[in-house]
Amino acid sequence: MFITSSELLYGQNSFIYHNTGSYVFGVNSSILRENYQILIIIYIILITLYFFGIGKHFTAFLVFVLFRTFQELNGMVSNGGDNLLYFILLYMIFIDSYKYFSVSKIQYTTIRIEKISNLLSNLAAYSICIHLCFVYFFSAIGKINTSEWYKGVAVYYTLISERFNGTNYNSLLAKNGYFTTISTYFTLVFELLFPFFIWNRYWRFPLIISGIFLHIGIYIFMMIHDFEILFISLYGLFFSDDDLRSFKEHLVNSWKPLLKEQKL
Amino acid sequence: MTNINKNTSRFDINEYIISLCKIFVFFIFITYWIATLIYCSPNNFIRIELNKYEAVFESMFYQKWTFFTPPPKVNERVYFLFIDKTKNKQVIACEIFHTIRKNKRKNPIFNTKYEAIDGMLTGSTYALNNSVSDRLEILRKTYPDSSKAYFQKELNLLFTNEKYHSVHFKTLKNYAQEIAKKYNINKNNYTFKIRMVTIEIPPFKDRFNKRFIPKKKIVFETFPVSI
Repeated sequence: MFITSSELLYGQNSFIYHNTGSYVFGVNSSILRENYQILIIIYIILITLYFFGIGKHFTAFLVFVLFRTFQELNGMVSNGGDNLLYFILLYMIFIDSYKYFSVSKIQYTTIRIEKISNLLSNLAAYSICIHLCFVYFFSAIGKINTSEWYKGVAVYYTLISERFNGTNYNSLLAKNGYFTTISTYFTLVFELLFPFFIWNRYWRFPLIISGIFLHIGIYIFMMIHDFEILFISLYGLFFSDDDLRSFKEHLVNSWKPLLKEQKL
Repeated sequence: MTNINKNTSRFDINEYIISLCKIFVFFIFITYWIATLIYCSPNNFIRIELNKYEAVFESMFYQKWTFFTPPPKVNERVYFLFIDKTKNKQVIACEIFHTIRKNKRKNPIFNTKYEAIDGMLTGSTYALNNSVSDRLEILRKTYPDSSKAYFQKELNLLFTNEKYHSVHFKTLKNYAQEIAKKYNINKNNYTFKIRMVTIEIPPFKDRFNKRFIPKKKIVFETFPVSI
């Protein structure tokens, strides 16, 4: 949204009023807003460089700084997804994510630096996973203490409210008592189980599938988009390289007999 | 003859430095997560005791994970009321959220413009409402014996005196100017005010009750100001 609605959020002709006296990283926010197009171009270039692993940790740091800058320039449109993305980008500064699909791998000058870098990278990757678990856990704790969630009717109110009414079917679904009760408690149970059972490999797959369904449902029925995409994309971090390799082999082996049959 | 053991272990400075660094990194990691846990937890004894450090932590690591707690139980309507300054006092009322949310639904994935507008206006409206409520609470505590008329007069200062205009009120005022321009409302002949109304969502038990009349409440209404 920072890029696609930039004219509205930062432009001089927008109806949004901004405080002229605030500073972002020591720079007056008015100057940043006047040159928002340059900032956006720089942001896009940095994201592209980051995508190809060029500049490595330094580029990751700059992406984080730019993201924070845009948040500070207009925090009103930020939501929980932007809040979490801030932390993800912060942790990504320390992660060595340049071993695959990158222009080049990191070359360490000494073994000492390599060992410390590996430790930082692993801890940062775990931090992303831990933070996601925190989000679900505290969200669930807050929900349990609310009467509507406790009684299994919260989904009715969220689907039927005008602000989050994403489809013509919201009202129909919300008024169905079975759907409302099951979906409300499903959300609660999922958010409570996820932080503890996601670390177990037998529970991982069903939890991730449940999470995907939950977030896709919110995406469609409540018109909350970037938030849900971010949460789903973080699930991949719970799979190790070995898990992904064995999944790929399994997939290839399943398709091989079919391809052989076709050739014959 | 003495037997010299050639395999004496030598002190490895590299390993020592690595171990120190690892201990330092783990210390930061654990401290950070304990601080995050305390910050995110509900108000309890430990959190209150460490309140003085909250601002420092919040400046870099602000986070709030209470989504839809509680879920919305009202629908908001925000009206811009354009009042003719001449004798006939005609009022043109414009509800701002209806069209925006309708457009948001039309193009679900490609609606970032309306999503941004909705976010800005909703945020500004709620922030304005909160500032009005906060101001009223301060006035009631400071002058508990004062009349309702006095409070209203003081609140009106928030809107009539430009010195007190908040960022949120100015955003809404700018949007009102755009609407006035769109509907050819002459700003020299009209003043405008903002009225926020909430309409109750029928409770779950009354979801099929066609006789249910939702309660409407004027949350706040500003004093007329020039467009």
